[in-house]
Amino acid sequence: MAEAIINNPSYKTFFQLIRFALGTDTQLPQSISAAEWKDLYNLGVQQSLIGVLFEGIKRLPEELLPNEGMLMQWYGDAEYIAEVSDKAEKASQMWTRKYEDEGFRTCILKGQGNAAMYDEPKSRTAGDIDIYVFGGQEKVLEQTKKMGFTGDACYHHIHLDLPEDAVPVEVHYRASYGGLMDKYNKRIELWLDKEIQHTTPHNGYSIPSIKFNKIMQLAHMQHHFAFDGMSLRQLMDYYYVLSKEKDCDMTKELEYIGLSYFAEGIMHIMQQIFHLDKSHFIIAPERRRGEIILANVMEGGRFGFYRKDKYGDMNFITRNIHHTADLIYFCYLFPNQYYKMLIRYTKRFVYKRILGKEYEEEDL
Amino acid sequence: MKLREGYILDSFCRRYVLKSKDDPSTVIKFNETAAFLWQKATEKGDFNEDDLYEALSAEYEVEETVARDAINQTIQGWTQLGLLE
Repeated sequence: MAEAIINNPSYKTFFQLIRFALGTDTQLPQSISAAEWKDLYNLGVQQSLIGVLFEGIKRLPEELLPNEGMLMQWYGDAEYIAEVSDKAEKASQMWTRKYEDEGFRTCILKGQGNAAMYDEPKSRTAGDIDIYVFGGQEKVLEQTKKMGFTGDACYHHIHLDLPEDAVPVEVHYRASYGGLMDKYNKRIELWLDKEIQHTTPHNGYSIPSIKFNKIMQLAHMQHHFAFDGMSLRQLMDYYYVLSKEKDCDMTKELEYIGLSYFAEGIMHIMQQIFHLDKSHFIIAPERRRGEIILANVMEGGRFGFYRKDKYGDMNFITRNIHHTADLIYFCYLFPNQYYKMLIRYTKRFVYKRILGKEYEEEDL
Repeated sequence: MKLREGYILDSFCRRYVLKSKDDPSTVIKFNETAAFLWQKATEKGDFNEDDLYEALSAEYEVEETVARDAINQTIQGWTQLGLLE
């Protein structure tokens, strides 16, 4: 199934366009029809890559360009993305000042820190601001309250209640974004807590080290992969993170923190889709894991918003058998991470469907 | 004449567009001549048809009547779109 995704003709041009935009490939199809352009645009939206792809489109020869309507639509979207990126950049600077004026050291995670690595930072689709505030949960929450902000707090961060037109903000007091198993969660957390100390100033705020980003963003992607869905935008961020350093094998560290199998899959995607040179890999790529991650990315898009239940037409029992079989396959491919999900899934099934009781979800 | 402030001339894929600073969703497509004239009018600040003709004839080999006609049409278009003060 996943193999078909890499070779699927409608995805093939999309992946070519990504590489052309990144400059890792100069090969282009002989022609692109209006219908194909429509598909490419829809994929660009689903994968949050409209702005980056437009950077490639601007360099296409005239005969390969989409029709005027589509070109203008793409231009308008790219302009909007640049405007949102600008807002996110200013918000990153503003939130940094807010906390640092009160004596708290900060660091901007993911988002604008990633954008800074792009050839055209404003082409990256910006999301919310993730600001890490040093000082620990208690002090950070107390300070946030003192500054007059409220929000929903969880183990890692507090999502602030802000006006609708403001850039959404998450204030983090833990750098981790967790694996699925407690044992590894703890190890990831300790590793990241240590590494986040190494920050670099950038354009009015601080950003974490490349090494930190390699682990934190991997854990973050795995979290989305397991729970909702991840997009090629996240993988493109990771491509830029990896491309900044060469010859940095992290196999041992990845095994210790339980991210090695997922990282192997991601390296496969980096190789096949982005054509990242192997000197940037942090672990050796593994095809089957890469293919299943890529299938998940292409089916679901950003946060899994575009995913259709591929077993939706089946009856209740067959559907659950298929979902369980998928989970067992995940356990086989990612043996140190997915058992907890399988147990949870089985428990929920037994409680809700067989015993007819309410099942209280465990916090993973 | 003066151009109304608050617009930026942009180009991509050999296309030219004028975008509003206040409302980025407002985009006006320009042809190459209109883009050239807009750029020259911007540089000049306060301009008239002769200024634009001088600039156009210095850049392109074009008959005076054709050039002045193009300039007139462009200025008319800008007036209709409210791009002149």
